[in-house]
Amino acid sequence: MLSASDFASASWELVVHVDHPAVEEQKDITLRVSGDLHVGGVMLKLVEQINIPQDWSDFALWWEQKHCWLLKTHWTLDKYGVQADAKLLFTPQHKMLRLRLPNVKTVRLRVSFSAVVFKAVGDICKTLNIRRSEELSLLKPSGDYFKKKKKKDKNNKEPVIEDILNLECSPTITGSPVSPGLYSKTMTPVYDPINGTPASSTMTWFSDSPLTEQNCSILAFSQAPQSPEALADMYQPRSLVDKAKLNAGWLDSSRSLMEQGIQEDEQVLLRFKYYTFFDLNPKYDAVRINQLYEQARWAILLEEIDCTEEEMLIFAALQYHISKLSLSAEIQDFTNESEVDEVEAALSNLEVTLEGGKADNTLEDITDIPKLADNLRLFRPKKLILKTFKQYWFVFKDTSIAYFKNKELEQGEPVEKLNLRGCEVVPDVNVAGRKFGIKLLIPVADGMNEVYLRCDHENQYARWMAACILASKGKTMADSSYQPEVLNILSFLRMKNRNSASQVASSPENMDMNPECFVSPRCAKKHKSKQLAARILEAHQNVAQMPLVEAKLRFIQAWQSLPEFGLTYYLVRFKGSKKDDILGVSYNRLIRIDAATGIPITTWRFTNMKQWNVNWEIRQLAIEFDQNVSIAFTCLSADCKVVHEYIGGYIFLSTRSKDQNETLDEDLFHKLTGGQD
Amino acid sequence: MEQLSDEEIDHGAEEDSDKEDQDLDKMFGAWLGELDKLTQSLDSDKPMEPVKRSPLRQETNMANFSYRFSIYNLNEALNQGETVDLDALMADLCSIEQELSSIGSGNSKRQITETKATQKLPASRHTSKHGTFKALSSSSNQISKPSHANYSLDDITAQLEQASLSMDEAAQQSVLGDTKPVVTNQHRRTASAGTVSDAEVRSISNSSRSSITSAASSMDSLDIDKVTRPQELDLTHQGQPITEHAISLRCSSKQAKRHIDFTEEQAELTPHSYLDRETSLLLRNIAGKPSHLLTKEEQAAKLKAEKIRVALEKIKEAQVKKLVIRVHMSDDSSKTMMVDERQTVRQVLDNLMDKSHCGYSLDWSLVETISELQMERIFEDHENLVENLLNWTRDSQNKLIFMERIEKYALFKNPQNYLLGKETAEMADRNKEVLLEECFCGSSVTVPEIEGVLWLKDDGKKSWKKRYFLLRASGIYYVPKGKAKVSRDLVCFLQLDHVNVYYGQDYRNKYKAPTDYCLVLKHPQIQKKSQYIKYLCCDDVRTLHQWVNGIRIAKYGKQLYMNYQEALKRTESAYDWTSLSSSSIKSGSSSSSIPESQSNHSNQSDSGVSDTQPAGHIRSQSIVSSIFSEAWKRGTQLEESNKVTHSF
Repeated sequence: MLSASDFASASWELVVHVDHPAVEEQKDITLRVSGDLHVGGVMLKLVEQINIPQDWSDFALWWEQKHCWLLKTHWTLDKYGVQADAKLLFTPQHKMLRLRLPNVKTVRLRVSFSAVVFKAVGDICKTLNIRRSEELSLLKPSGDYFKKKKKKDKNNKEPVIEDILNLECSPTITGSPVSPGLYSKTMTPVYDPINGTPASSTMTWFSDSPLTEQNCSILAFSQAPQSPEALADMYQPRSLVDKAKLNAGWLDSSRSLMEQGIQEDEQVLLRFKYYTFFDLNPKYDAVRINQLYEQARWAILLEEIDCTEEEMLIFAALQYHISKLSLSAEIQDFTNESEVDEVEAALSNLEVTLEGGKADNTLEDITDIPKLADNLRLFRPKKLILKTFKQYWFVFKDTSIAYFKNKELEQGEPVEKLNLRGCEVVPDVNVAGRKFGIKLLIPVADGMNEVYLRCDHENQYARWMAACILASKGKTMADSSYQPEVLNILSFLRMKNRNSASQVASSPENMDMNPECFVSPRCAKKHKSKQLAARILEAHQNVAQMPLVEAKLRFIQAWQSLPEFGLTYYLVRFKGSKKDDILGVSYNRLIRIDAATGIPITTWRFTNMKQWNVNWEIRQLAIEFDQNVSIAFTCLSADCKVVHEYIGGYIFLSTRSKDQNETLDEDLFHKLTGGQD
Repeated sequence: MEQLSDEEIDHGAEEDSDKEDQDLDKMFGAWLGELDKLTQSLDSDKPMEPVKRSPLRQETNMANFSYRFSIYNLNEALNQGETVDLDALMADLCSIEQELSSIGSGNSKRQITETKATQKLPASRHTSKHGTFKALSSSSNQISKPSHANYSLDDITAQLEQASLSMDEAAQQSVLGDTKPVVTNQHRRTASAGTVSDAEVRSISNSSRSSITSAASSMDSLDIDKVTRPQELDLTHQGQPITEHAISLRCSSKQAKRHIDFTEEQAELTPHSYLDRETSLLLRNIAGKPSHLLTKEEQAAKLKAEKIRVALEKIKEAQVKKLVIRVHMSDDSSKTMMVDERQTVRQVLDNLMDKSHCGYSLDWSLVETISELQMERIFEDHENLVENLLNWTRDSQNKLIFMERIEKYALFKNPQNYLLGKETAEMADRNKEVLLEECFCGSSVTVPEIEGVLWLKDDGKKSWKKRYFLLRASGIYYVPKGKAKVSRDLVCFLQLDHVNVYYGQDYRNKYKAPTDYCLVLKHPQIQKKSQYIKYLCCDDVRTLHQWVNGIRIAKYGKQLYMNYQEALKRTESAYDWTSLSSSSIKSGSSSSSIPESQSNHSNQSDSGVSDTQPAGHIRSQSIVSSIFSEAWKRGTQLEESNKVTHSF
């Protein structure tokens, strides 16, 4: 084995551990090398010695002591500083990683462990078909996350593996980039912009990718809501300092997964890290929008971001609406506009007339305005009068309600006629108590006319309620949206009904539809279930007509308008300060927050920023703003690189513009966020 | 003149009924049902007693309101003797007339009547007023009569004639019946039924005349006026309810009504000017062609298609409501102008700026003052003016004022004062632009974080209590007593969807407010004191403006910024046009004559006509990026130098 020449050229023995299931007997392979041999040569020798014919191209050398890859194949061992004591590992660059997505689903994916995280995330997003990967990153969950999760798993006796989506056969195995953003080049919509289903033209594309149609739907569609118990289990009240600790887990974008100690098959979270979502487009972004929606939803349900009760109910209503639409097989066609209807009706009218038909009769038939007439009970709140409902004969026609003492007097003058255009309609319902009320707030010159109507049963309620809602928007029951609205209301009532009468057979998909699963556990605790349902119903009216994707976007928007939106917290010590503060980093500003009270102290905006730099020796970040304001701080809850990257990342993101098509200036990102080396 | 005598009789009647209205003012309900009754009684020829009792005040019907406005405005005009305005108004009407008639074959007859009408105007004010009305109505009358005879849409015409006949009958009956109540009703209805018949027409003049005077007796000024173009004095667009009653003689459904309406209209007007050029051309072509070139079926089909198309256009056109409004100028004069239902405040403002030669500025605003409640509001440019004015009550003393208000767009001239909380520092224009882009051009609008102690007026009392209020995108909240300022514990004070924000005026006297810096939140339809109006009082004027603008942002969002950019564009192009300078010179030259904000904008306008939002967006993006890349350059330079020092 050893020849004279080997000794002469000062060669030495290099032990390489081979990470391959087939190489079992002789895992450690000893090579005779010299310092001027380049890495490529080492690998060549290695493969020759292993002598197993297969594609080794994904394999690379990993230097365990130094914790780095030897990826530059033309570098010599000397240049890398590899000597005989080095422990090298010959291992695939792509390994399986379990990614927990924003929608709390886990996918198993082959990911490059040798590329920097920024690039690895880019590849992951391509596989998952999420545009704008620069907004996402990987978060290493802190210890208590898993603790919590294990507890949950134990309780539910649900193996983790079950909800894992395996995308093992990913093309990334070859290291080549996956389908390079087909959408951007062809500009054909990939998704139906209304309901987010993949457009048929892209089916071919899906067949190339591990994303089968079914997998895609897991990513692009909202999943059935969690049970309130599961929610309560995951819920964990957190202080600002706790939140700051969670943010330490963001992986360094300019280093590889392997270098950051991520093991094969370890679980990490894929999250939207930077809260500026560029160019959300329903045509291309079904997965992105859905994941964003899910991240927002969980943030609100678990109270990672604070909101008021009113806001919580709006979010709940949207969630209900979205989950209902996601479940329903046939998505309703909302394209019919009322105006079109009217014109069409007029057109057909005219046609009839022009054809000289029996003008009058036909006219009446076609143009008969639907009308509701029934006995309802009425109550008008007045001071000093007990709350009693009195029965009247009600007639709903056009956009107004008239009521009469009894049916016989219908031809006469009504007791009162209410025009509902522009009024507020509030449901006043208690299904368990068989109470189906409608509260009307009708604006008139000298205030609000407050009227309560009471229906006898659900169907009656649904019909009148739908008519009221439409009338308040100036539409009549002739409008095409009337029937869907009635059905909407009925289905909502059923949701409430389930609680009181659970023995009623409900379809399996409706199992988790109960009000508590749409609000945070704390909010659910505060209210009775039926109250909650009534208030969600009230908020739901305003969104009931929204198509699926629009509802998700609305949810995201409402999330974005929360005052605390987009703030990432870190525990820091400002230079010259004697106590710790919280630093909030947002897309446009930095906020110094009092750690104890949570009250903001100072705000600095990025637009006023002149420069910033990091003193890596003392791990201090110094930022200078206009008008000679400068601050410096050290980060206590995370490495200063994490904070530095956050700030640099936001600045990088603000340089994006639509005309630079899809190419990312990766170098700029690394310049802005890069570390000391 | 026989009409006049009729009017006089009716006039007395109207006054009476109006008094009754006043008496019954506080009574709620019942009036619409009475109208229904009237309808039935019209049908069956019964006397119409119940009608007289219907209290006008209770009406929620917009069309009725609007018609009433017209009466008052005319009345006011009479009081003030402003013939000039009436002339202007007539000129407006005439020009519309001419436009229309020039399109078609041109109906000289009508034009003549029109001119006659205008000539009559200056004569004596009172009579000229009625003269106008008569002229208008008679002209439209003349239109309708021949059309019945001429036009070839036989079945339609037949149908129409039936309809109008019965209308005639009904109307005549009601007029001839000459009972006091009828007139009240009539006057409400006439606006919609104008062209239908002589009798109706007469009753227009009757009722308008009578209501003018009755109005004069009760209240004085109201600034809105509703007059329809003569051609449109038909049933269609005047608000369904009225039409309903008039037409329910024949069929009860709305669409049927509409149908009849347009057929009527078509029958009346097509031979004259209403047929657009294309249609008439086409028809003429077909007519001119030798019949052997077209099969009968083809002809029929073509004709039918044409008719349908025309009819549909008519439907659209006929549904447009028009208001004549009185706008007060800052110098105590006033102007009368016509606005149509579709016009936004921006369009009306442009119109006013043109007419009043006041120069173009961003700050010209339409201000609504509600004198009864001592509050005012600047209409937003995107709002629909007619819709807003229809919220006014019949006897409203509200005014519409055209004036320069710097508050209107101060938000965009110095955004840092409104978007950044307490800071008052001056800001570079470049940064202002960035700030605005950031706030308004993202995927969601950032509502400024405004919070602080405000005074809240107790319901029904002249006492004010301090509370800590916060503005959020979802509404206004306050911190309940004894609680911390945590989002989840906030109590919702108001959601902004249904309310508008007003400035309160002199509430220190009226409500014993702690300061004069008050803002009011109320539903636009509320016009009188009510528990549903919320009064807030700020400690200083700066806080007041911050709150008002914050609420505007929360309520209107991106629209507000679009309004501003649109307004900028308008004023720019106006200067452009007057100075006849090229667009490249424009921005420089105009910036001197327009307040500070202009210079801000001149950057943006460099891109010329394509200066739309996306362009602006990209621009500012690049600005941001340049800022940052500069910052970054400096940063890395320093970093590098650090590195160097570290490595040694």
